[in-house]
Amino acid sequence: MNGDDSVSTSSASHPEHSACIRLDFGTEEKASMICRTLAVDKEPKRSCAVRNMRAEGTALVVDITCNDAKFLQKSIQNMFDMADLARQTFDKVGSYEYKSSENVPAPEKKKGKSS
Amino acid sequence: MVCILGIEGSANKIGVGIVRDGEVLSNPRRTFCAPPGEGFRPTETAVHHRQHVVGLVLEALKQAKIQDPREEIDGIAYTKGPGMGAPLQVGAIVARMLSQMWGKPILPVNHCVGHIEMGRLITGAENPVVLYVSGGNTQVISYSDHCYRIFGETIDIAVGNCLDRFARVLRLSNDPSPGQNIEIMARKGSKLYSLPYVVKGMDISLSGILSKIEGEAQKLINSGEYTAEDLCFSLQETVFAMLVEITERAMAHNGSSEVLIVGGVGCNLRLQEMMSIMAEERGAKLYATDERFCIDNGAMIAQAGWHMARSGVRAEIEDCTTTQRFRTDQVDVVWRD
Repeated sequence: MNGDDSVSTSSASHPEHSACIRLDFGTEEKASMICRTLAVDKEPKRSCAVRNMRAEGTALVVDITCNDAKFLQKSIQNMFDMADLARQTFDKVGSYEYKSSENVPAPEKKKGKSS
Repeated sequence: MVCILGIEGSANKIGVGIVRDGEVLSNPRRTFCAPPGEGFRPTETAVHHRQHVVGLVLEALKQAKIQDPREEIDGIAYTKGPGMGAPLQVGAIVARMLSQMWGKPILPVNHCVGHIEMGRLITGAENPVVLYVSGGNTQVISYSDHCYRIFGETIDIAVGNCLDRFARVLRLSNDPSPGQNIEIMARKGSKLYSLPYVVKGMDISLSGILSKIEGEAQKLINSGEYTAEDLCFSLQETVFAMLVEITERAMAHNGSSEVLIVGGVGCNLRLQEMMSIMAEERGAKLYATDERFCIDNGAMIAQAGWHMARSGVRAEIEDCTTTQRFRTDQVDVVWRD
């Protein structure tokens, strides 16, 4: 997973910040699944960020535009976090394989644990 | 045979559960505990959930002895709301991914309905008045005409929120939960400190009680007049009596002979004791679950999702957003008569 991030500024009276992020996931199926997963969530109401997301071949391409640099940064961070979570889900659960030889604890046992 | 995987992460607990035709096959869970004197914040809680959720999915599949999830899982349920925004998103992302990976329908579940359906499954209660009490919710609910109707509720903070915040004032540990630590302290208390009793018809208000006990706590303890245990005892007696009163009022209004307590505060044995006294005097029956299911868990979402799947509820992934406010009575309960 790699990202290319650039920020440019336009008009002084209404400064506009933007970022274009390209994440390559290796396969078209994976990229389109992750794009569909991430596109559902909209930007929070108080954020003035505008986000456009699409899958291009094996890559996810995200354009984020915002008047406020802070909200742009938050939006970029959230996008990276969620993309990584989606990728982890795909990679780890996708390679799930049940091994009956493993000792499996009984489901009735209390599973609460703190960390 | 319908088998549903549920993901719950609306507050500081992240859980994944698998339910098949009324049987809980697995239900692993992790809790994010903030340091004493602090509450859990959305951003930090979401980080915790992101770190654990994929491992919990694998753990749930393993414990349920699922060999091939594509074949054996029939639907993915997740908490659509209500709850904290960032933690909710974590559960939703994983659910959407699993739904696409396995080609199974995705089921957006209301958190409160999840508690109710798990409570009904585990206890066998038919049509109870439900007291739903937790850190985020306090509602008296009764089912009628395809809707879980809210007869009474808190008009400000939830009762669990009140208890948790008082635990912060006393700097009690958040492990395993501040509410449980208050309960343990309360057992050693015996002197009742008078607190405002704020029942408003079917509703209650808790912010005044919290302000009073927070403001007076340090002074009272320093003076030696009351101990921290006495204050915990007094807070429990007052707020639980209020909950019992509004629940009884709803039971009288509905002519109900069953009462079910769900939600994290439903673990509290003193609350169960007070409610059982009221139920006994009314000739009614009290139902409650233990901490495996009272506390937020993935299996309760799977169970509500199971009902939704069997009654034909379908949702497009594009519509499977999360929402911080999702009222119990917004859900169309098509799976009940």
